[in-house]
Amino acid sequence: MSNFMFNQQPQYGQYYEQPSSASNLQFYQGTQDSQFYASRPSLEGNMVSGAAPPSGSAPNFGGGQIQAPQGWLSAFSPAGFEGEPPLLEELGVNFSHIWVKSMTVLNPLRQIDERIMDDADMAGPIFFFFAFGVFLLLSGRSQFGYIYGIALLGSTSIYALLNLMSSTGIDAYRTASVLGYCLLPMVVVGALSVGRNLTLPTYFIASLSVISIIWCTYAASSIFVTILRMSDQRLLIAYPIGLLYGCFALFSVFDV
Amino acid sequence: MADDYHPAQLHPQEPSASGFWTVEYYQQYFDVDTKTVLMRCYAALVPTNDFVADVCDSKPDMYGPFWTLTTVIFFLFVTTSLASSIGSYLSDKPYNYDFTLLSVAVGLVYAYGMGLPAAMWALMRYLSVTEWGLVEWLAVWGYGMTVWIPVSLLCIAPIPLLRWVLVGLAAILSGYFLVRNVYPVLALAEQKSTRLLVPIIAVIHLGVALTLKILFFSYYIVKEVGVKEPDALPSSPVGPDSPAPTALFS
Repeated sequence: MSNFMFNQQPQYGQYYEQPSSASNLQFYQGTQDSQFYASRPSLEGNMVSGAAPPSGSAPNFGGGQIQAPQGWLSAFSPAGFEGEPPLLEELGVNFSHIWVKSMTVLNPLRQIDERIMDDADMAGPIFFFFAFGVFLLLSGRSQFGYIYGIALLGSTSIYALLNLMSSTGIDAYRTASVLGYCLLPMVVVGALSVGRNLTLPTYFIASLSVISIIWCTYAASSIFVTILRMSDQRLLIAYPIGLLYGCFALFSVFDV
Repeated sequence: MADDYHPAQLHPQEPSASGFWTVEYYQQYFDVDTKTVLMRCYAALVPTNDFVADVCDSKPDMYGPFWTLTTVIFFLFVTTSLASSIGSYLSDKPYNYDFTLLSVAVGLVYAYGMGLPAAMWALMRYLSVTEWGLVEWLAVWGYGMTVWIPVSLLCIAPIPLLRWVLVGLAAILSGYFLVRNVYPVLALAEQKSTRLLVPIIAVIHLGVALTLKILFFSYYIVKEVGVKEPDALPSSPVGPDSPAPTALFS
């Protein structure tokens, strides 16, 4: 990993200035060029590793720049390090990005920006998977292990398939991120199906499950086709993704 | 017009000389798009041309065979379970989904669709016939199984005569496709006795078709229409008891 040193000292106020246009979805202000994303497509994005050890060679990414490595005890003081970034930025949780990506999934008919999944953040997907599990728990089934297993196996398989079929490759974190975001319609259906035995008729729930599978698959294949520029092969990747989301839909129907 | 169509060269490259443990070696076999795969499936259903040389342009893919076999498995299991659960819904009997049927389908279809061509490839290598690589053998068998997808849908109809006729037609059609493509390769061997493999392939193929018929296309929704099945074959709409997961709403 090369160190990216930035000469400028960005102001604190820049941390939460998010650009409104989707074409500039860089994680936080402060990067010089888009080449940054191409060279570091992995999970870390723009995070600053805050606790610089006194040995001095602290890798600095993105916004903050630690002036001088102080003792580690100052991390626990109210003042903190000089130049220490806010907690959410350090953790890589960017709520406005999560919101933009969720809206893209919920409305996949709109034009999808190619750079939307450049920061492969996992905070959104982990939250959606957990919410799915919690809604199933409220329906009476505790299936967190199954969800985790199928998600792991499925995203690994889709990662293998996408690398075989596309001309540019994709890394595993990004496929997991895309698949996690596109689970959102199914989470919504899961929330509705909490009331399955109480109010809603069963054929309604079944048709909602089918609609959610189609919606999730359409969104995921749209995003993958846009990112990887493989519009000729759209149905070929939509089919395995549809099977994966069908497995998830089976969880919300059957008591496995 | 069909002669002018060439499969889209998405990332054209020479047959890779990199080892089979790298991703690049396998990427050349996934260089297809939707239209190509669908065209190859159609050509398997209507076998007029030589499959590997003409339809695939000597560039077979590995996406098609794997996913047609998987689709066949799904359709077999889903149509069986669907019809049986409709039958139990109509007759108000509880139904347990028989997931052992899925395991049997997976084992049978993958063993026949992948194991047999791999064995044929090994045998041909032993007999010094290297016309086809492993991918060509897998492609011929894999695409040859596409006929079972529409047949499994049509066999939902509870008419024994229709089911036997459909299965027979499917077996003959896919058998003809297999033999037509495999015979020229077998004829290249030095010993004449390799041509005896053709009837052996045909017998195995008919055996698999018969197994599929008995295992998957023998359910009846309410009662049979027409001539009754022989007593040895199962004809009850409710699946056997098994500790299988039950639907929450039934």
